[in-house]
Amino acid sequence: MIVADELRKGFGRHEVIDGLSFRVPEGSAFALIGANGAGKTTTLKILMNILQPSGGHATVLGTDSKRLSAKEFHRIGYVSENQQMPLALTIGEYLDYLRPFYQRWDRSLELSLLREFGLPTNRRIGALSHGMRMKVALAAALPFHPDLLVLDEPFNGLDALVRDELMESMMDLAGQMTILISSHDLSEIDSFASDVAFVDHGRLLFQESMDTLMRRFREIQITLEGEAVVPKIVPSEWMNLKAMGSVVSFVDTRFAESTMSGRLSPYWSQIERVETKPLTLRAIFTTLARASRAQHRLNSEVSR
Amino acid sequence: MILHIMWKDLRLLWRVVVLVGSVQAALTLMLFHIDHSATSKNPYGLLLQLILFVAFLGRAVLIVLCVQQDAIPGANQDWLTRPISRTDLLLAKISFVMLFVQGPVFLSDCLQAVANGAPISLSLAASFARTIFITLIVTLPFIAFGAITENLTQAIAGAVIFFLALAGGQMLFVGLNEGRRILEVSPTTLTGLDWITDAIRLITALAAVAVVLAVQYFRRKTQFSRIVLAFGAVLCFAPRLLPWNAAYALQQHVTPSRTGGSAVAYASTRHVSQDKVPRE
Repeated sequence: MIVADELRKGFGRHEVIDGLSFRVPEGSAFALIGANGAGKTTTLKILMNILQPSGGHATVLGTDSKRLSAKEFHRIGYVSENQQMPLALTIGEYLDYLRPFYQRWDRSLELSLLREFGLPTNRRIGALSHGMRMKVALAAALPFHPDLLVLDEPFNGLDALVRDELMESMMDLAGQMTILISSHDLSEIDSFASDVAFVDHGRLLFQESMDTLMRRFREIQITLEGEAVVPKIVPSEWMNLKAMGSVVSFVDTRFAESTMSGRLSPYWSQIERVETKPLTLRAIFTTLARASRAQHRLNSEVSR
Repeated sequence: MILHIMWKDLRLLWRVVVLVGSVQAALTLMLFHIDHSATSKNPYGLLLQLILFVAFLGRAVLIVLCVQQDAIPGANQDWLTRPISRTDLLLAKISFVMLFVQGPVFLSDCLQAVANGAPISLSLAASFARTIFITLIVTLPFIAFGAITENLTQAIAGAVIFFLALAGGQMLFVGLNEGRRILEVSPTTLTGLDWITDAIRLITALAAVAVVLAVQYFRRKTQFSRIVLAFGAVLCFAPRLLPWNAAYALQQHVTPSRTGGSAVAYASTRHVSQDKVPRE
C-alpha cells in the first residue's frame, strides 16, 4: 500500500528525515511512532505530496508520492492535527462543499458519523474547539470509503472523552481500510495497531508487527542470592539496566523463553529467581527513546 | 467544479464582495457627477482621490483573499489532500476575480459611458477593452501575488517589503546616477516611442505572472515563485531606462514594412512669388 525507500528531507542544514525506509502492508493499521521532532509529520506530508523529499522515493497506492493527484486523493482520507479547514463555513456547508468532489461519497455514512460524533451541522468550524475540529476532520475523511486513511497525531491536545470516542472509531475502522497513524502518544495505539515502525531522529529503528514486538520485549527482574552487581559489559539488546539490593532489572529487546537462562548465566551465577513481564507499547517506546537519547548524548560528547 | 469552488469562495467572502462593490458604486456616482471638461473644478476634491484609493485597495484585498481561501504556500491546507483539480482551482479563482472584482468595474465604466451619451455598443466595447487592459496589468499580477502568500498578514508584509525595496532601489539608483548621468531616466516618456517601453513592461509582467501561476498551482514551489515575481517586478521598471535610440531601433524592427516607407513628395509651388520668400 505504501513503500518508503531511503526518504530524506532537510530544512536548511537540519536533516529531519535521514534515509527512512518502511512498508505499510495492505489492510494493516500501521503506527509510525517516535518522539516529538522525530520526523513523523514530515514523513506523512511527503507521502501525501504536500512536501517534496530531498532524496529517496515513496509510492502510495502504487503511485509515486510526488505524482499523487486528484485521482489518488479519491481513495485517501487525511486527518492532521493542524489541518486548516475553511473556518467561516459551518460543518454542514463544509461537507456540502466536499461531497461533489468524491464519486464514492456515502451520505448515510456521513450522517451517521455526524450523529456518532455529536457534530451540529449549523455550527461554524471556526467556533469549534480543537477536539471538535478533529472530529469534523475525521467525519470529512471517511464518508467516501477511503482505501487509505492517514492520521497525523490525531489524539494531540484532546481531552479523555473525545480521545475515547475517536479511539472507538479507529477500532471500528481497523480492518476495513489501511490506516497509517503517527503518534507519540501510544497508550491508545496499541489497542488497534497491527504494525509498528519506530522513528528516531529521522531514521527507522525498527518495523515489525505488534505481535512480534510485544513478544520480543520483556521486562526482566532477576533476584540474586547476594548483592546485585551490574556487569560492565552486557549484550546491546539489554536496556535500562538497574540494580537495587539483590535485584537486577532490565528490558530485554530480544526475549525468547527458551534461551533466557543460557543468556543470563555468563553474567550472574547465583540466580534465585527470574521474573518476566510483558511491556506495553508505551513502555517499549519510553525504553527505546531513553536509550536513543543516551546514545545521541554519547555520540555528541565523542564528536566534541 | 469551477463554479462549485467559486460558490464556496463567495460564501466565505460575500461581505467583502458587497463592501468592494459598494465603494465601486459610490465611485461611479461621484465620477458621473463630475463635469469632465478641463475647465471645471472637481467638486469632491480629496474625497474622490480617497475613494479611488480605497476602491483600488479593496479590489486588491479581495483578489488576494479569494486566492488565499485555498492558499498555495504552507503544508496544512485541507484542499491539498482533496481530489481537487489544480486547473479547476486556478480557473475558479480567475473566474471569481473576473466576476466579482472586474465585473463591477466593467459595469461602472459601461454605465458612465451610457449616462454620458455614448452608444451602448461603443460603451460595451470600450469598457470591455479597459477590463482586459486592467486584467492584464493589475488583476493577474495580484492573483499571482495572492498565490505566493499564505494569509493577509503575509501579503501585507510582502507588499511593505516590496515598496520599501522599490523606494530604496530608486533612491540608490538616483544617488549613483546623479552627476555622472550613467543612464538617462525615462528618455522615451511623452514621445512617440513610449509604447515600446509600455509593451516591454506588459510582456515582462505577463511572463512573470504566467510562470508564477503555473509553478504555484502545478508545482507548489513558493520560494522560486517569489523570486520570479520579485525579479519580474524589477524588470518591469527597467524599460524606463531604455535609451531612445534602442527604443527607436526596436520600433523599426517591429514595424511591418521596414524597407517600404511611404514616399514623401515635394514640389515647389508656382503661386508663391520670389518676393514673398522670407529673406534672412
